[in-house]
Parts: sequence; C-alpha cells; structure tokens
Amino acid sequence: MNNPEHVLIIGGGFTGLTTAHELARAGHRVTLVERSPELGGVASSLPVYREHLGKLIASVTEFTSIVILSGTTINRIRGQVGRFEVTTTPDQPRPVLATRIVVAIGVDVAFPSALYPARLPGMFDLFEAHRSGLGSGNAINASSKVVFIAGYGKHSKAFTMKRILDSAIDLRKNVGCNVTIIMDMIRFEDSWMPVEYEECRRFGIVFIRSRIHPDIRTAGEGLTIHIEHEPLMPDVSSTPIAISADRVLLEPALYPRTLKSVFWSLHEPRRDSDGYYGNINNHYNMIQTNRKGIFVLGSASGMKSIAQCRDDVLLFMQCLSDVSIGQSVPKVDEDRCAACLTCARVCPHSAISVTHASIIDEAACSACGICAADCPAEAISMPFEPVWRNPDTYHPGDCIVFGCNGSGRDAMQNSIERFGLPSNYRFFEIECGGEIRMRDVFDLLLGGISQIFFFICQDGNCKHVHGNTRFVKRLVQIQHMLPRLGVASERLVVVRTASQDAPALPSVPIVNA
Amino acid sequence: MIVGKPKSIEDIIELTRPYPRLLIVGCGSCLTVCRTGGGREVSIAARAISLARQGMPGAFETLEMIVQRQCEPELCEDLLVVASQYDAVLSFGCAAGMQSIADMIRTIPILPGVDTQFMGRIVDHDRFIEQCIGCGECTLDRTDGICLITRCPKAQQNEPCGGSDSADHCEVNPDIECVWITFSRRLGERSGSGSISEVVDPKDWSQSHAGGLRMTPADPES
Repeated sequence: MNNPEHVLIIGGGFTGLTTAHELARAGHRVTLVERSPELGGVASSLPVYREHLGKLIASVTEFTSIVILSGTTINRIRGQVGRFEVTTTPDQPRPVLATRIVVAIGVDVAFPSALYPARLPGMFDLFEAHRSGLGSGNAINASSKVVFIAGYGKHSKAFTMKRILDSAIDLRKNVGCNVTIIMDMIRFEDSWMPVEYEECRRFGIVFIRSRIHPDIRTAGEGLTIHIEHEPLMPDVSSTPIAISADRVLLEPALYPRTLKSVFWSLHEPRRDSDGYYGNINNHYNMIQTNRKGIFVLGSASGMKSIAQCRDDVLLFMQCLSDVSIGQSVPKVDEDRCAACLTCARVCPHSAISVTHASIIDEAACSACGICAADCPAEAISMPFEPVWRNPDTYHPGDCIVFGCNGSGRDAMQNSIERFGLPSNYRFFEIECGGEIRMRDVFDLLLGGISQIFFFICQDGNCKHVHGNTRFVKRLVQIQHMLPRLGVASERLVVVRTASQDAPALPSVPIVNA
Repeated sequence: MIVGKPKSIEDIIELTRPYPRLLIVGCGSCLTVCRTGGGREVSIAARAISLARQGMPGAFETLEMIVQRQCEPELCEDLLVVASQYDAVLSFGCAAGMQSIADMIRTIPILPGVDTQFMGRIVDHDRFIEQCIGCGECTLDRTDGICLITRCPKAQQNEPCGGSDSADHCEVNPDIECVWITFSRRLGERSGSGSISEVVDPKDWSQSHAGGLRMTPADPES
C-alpha cells in the first residue's frame, strides 16, 4: 500500500457505506458523515435491500479504519485536494483532514405532489408505504385491490421498475390481494428483468399502459382511476378505462439533494440542469466533479439503480489505484510559485496540493501539462522539452499540425493515409491540447509559421477531462488579439476530432506568412 | 490582495510604440495571483507586441523579467543592472510597484501594463471582488465582518437606503446583493455580532485617502 488515502464520505446510505467498505478493504482510512442517527439512507426503507444493508452496516462498523459520525452534518469544507479540511456540526476535536471527498448524499424522496396535489385517502407513495410496512401497515388485506402507478411526471423519473415489481410480487405472495400496475413507460434496471416479469405473470399481476397520466378520484370508500388505453391501430380512438382500487401506490417523486453553498468555500461542484451534482466527463470519468478531488457517487448525481451505485463505487476505487508511478513529473520553482492555487484547481487528476508552494504528486500526475500552461507565474516546467519548441524543427512558411494523444494524433494518421501530408507540413504529437501555452503559439507565429492546426478531442471527450476546453480558452484569447496585431486570425485553426476521423488539410496554406 | 486588470493590447502597443528596446517586468505577488501581471502575462505581452512590431518599421527588442515584489527595492536590483540597455520599462506590477521602480530607474519612462483596481479577495477561480477601500478605521467587528463602507455603493452606515429590488439586488449595482440584506441575514449567527440598531456617528474620513496621502510614521514610538 503505497499511498494510503483518507477519504471523507458524505452520506451513510448504500453508496456511502459501500464506498467506505471498499476503501477500508484496500487499506485506506475513512471518515463517514451521516446526518441522521441511523445509517442506510433511502434504500433501508425498502425490504428487498434491508438484509444486504444490515450486513453492510455490520461489516463497516467492524473496521477500525472507518470512523462513522452519525447525527452529524458538514459545517465547512476548506483546503484543496490532498489536503481538504472539513469541520462538522457537532464539532470534532480537530478538523477532519481528507485527501479526497466523496459526495454520496443520495436523493430526497417525496409524495409526487406536483402530479397529484390533492392527497386522497388511500393514496400513498411507495416509500411511505414501505416505511409503515407494505401490506398490513397500509391496511392492505387479501381482498384489497391495489394499483401501482409508475412513470408519470417530471420528478418521478428513473425510479426503476424493479422496486415496483418487487413490491407487487411481495403483495401477491404475502398478502394475496389483487394487483394492477399502470405505467407510461417500462423502465428497466440493467437487463430486461425477465425473471421479475415472469414472476409477475405467474402471480397474475395485470399491466396496463396509459399515455395520459392517470386521473385519480375518490369513489365511496375507495378510489377510481381514469386512464386511456391506447390502441394499436392508428385510426381507432383510445378507450377510456376506469379502474377501481382500495389502495393506490404511487411512484415517489425524487429530488436532488445538495449541500448549502456556504459549506463549500470555493469547491462547490457544478450542478446539472435538474439540480443534481454533475460529473465532469461522461466518457472518461462519470464520477469526478468539476472540483479536483471531489467525487459524486450514487444517486447524488441522479437516480440510479443499486447496481449502478455499486458500479460508481468500483469506478471510484479504480481512480485511486489507477496511477502511473515512476514517470517524471513537472517541477515547481518554489521561488516563483505564488501559491495562487491555479494549478490545484485546473489539474484534472487531483495531483496537486498547495501549502507554501505547489506540490505535484508523482503517483497521480499524468504529465498532461495543463498546470504548466495555466500557471500565472510560469513556475511549473514540464520534465521534457517537446521537440517542436526547438525552432530547428521547422522553417518559416511551414504549416504545423498538432495532434493530441486522445484522438488528434489518430485523426492525423488517418488524414495522412488518405490525403498524404503536403511537403511543407510538420506534424507533432502532443499529450493534450491543454499543454500548449499561449507563448508557444506566439513563438510559432513569430517564427514564421503560416498556419497552425490543432487536432484535439471533442467537447466532453478529453482524456484529461478539460484539457481541450482550457486550450480553446487560451486560443480564443489569442485569436481575439491577432487582428489588433495585424495578423490574420485564420492562421490558427482548431479541429475537433474523434479517433476515426480523417480531416482534410488544405495543400496550400490559406494565409502566407 | 491588490487586484488589477490588464490594459488592452491596443493600448499597450500604442504606449510602447516609440521605444525600440523594451524591458517588460512582471510582479510575482498580488498580480500573479490575480493572473494579470505574472510571468505568463509578461511572456504573452512580449510576444504579442513583437508580433505587432513585425508589421511596423524599425527594429524591436524586448527582455522579460519577473521580480518577486516590485514594491521592494532590494528585490529589484537585477532590474537596475539591465535598465540602462533599454528605452522604456513596461511594468505589469500594481501602481505601488511601478512607482517604486520609477524611483529607482530615473532616466527612462516607466509604462503601466495594467490598471490597478482594488484591494480584494477571490470569489471564484479568475474572479475577484473589492472588499476594502482602506478607510483607515476598521470597524468590521461592529458589522459582523462585512464592510458596509466598501460593499455598499452609498456607504450607508446606519440603515439600508431601501432601494433594493425584490430579488435583494442593490439599486446602484444590480450585480450584487444589497449588503445590508446580507448583514441583517447574518446577524445572530455569530456570537457577539454587531447590532443593526446601534447608531453610528459620522465617519472620520480624514483617516482615509480623503485626508491626504498616508504614510506610516518614521518613529514607531510617536
């Protein structure tokens, strides 16, 4: 165990507990903060998960390397990756010093009042129903007619069908009542749940699909549900159907949970348009937020199935162990370093922490060069000097093509194979667009290069998360300046590529030096 | 720290146009941290000006240097050594640093590459906000750590002006929340926090820049 970490996990539900367990097994230390007195979160209100959760909680409490702070909330998060300082309420004797932070706060579950503002007697959301005990707790007996309603309304997205199917089967098996499921769309977890559907069919559960959301009204002691059954034939009008029920169990509405902004100092992760904490890169890392060292796992980033939550945890463990050890890392000139935290903030690999000067962690650094290019003091130098910074490798009047390791280089090879490389073009491989400094671009223009092409990854596809974005930001600044310097901005061309592309290059440069 | 903003490249090119040999100096402190005057900005400016000068008659030569703090003469000695070989100095330090250099280097022009703006702190990566106007008489204890003089455009000391809109924005600067609303919301969070009902006497502005140029006394005992 080369680099034991101390991870702060916010949230003691299924995801938080699983993460703690995996970390402790791998030899790391964990502090887990849970705001309620009990562990287990939302999943603990579902009987299908209770047994597993019970075992998980038991094993987590056994590890001495896991400190559990229940009935505790986060007060403030300060510091930076590798050295987060976290205070809690109630206070701990000292602030928690963590190397990384995992946000596993899950979702809020509520009655779908947006869809059904009037709560009629006999109407429950599924979570509430489970909390009081599905069946006897809701006065459901063998002669009851129970209707589940799934899939309607903006806020009820992604509550997987599995929970409804499990609950429905539970009722048929253990209570013996009549069960119908009305739904808009069938939603699946992982596979197509053939086992669950088969069981449902065996138990005689009726499925009805309705495009319009069910209208529920009180009828005597029970309820009537009005839907429209959509026909298969296009010209036939839909049939209105009224279903009577004693109990209506609604898929609950799910709301994103967030921690107050004031807790985060400068570290508050970005949220997506639905309000969930978002990941930064769907292709390469679905759990890293836009703040270095802060990860969002499980439902905190959008409702997920239990299996997907578990996948998040495994991906997180990989982030910890996925290190390239022994490669040379950029050097920080401590005299020039102003401890401005820019490098720590822009590093996509959580490799930099700052005390009196920046410290780059050899194990986590992948030499992408983004820190060196963005350092306002030019205090960071790469361990190697790329060949293209040597003016002897090109002549005035040449064109230069940079291709990044992620996709640009592959695209360039394809391009050469298809179109050939004109004689006055020079091709250089770079690790990432993010390593190109503004001064490099100016140096090439001053050196008489006619045109520079940058083949970089598409938005969201950068292996270094945002190397492409940071590079484009710099390039836009330069292109804004060029006309004011009497230089045509067409001399710089950014080409967004995927590995299988083969962009054509003009054989004659558009603009002469 | 001191926050500045870079001058536009056109302004810088105009300012430096008469000079064939230009010494460009950055500052390693505040202006590096606010990403305006550090080594990076200096190297970009040097190259941008060089590119522009390629299209103009006459030779052009530039040297880039960084000093840790331009306002500290001892740290600027290297500058003195080379200054005689140049026709002008373009400084990316704050005005205090620039004037310190101007005191040391008397024979050639010292040109500003940045506009010094305010004393402030970071809001987010690349964004800074003014927090102090240097009034010389700090009463932050009374106002819960919120400077009503700096952060209220009218420097209201005793009550809000009442002009904030329904979204709590200041009527003078709609980009900010009314600081009196911030103040009153936070009251009570802190033990021993300021009182919103305490009447404050008119401020003694002679302690601020309005009272003239300020200097710490020569003899600490006096």
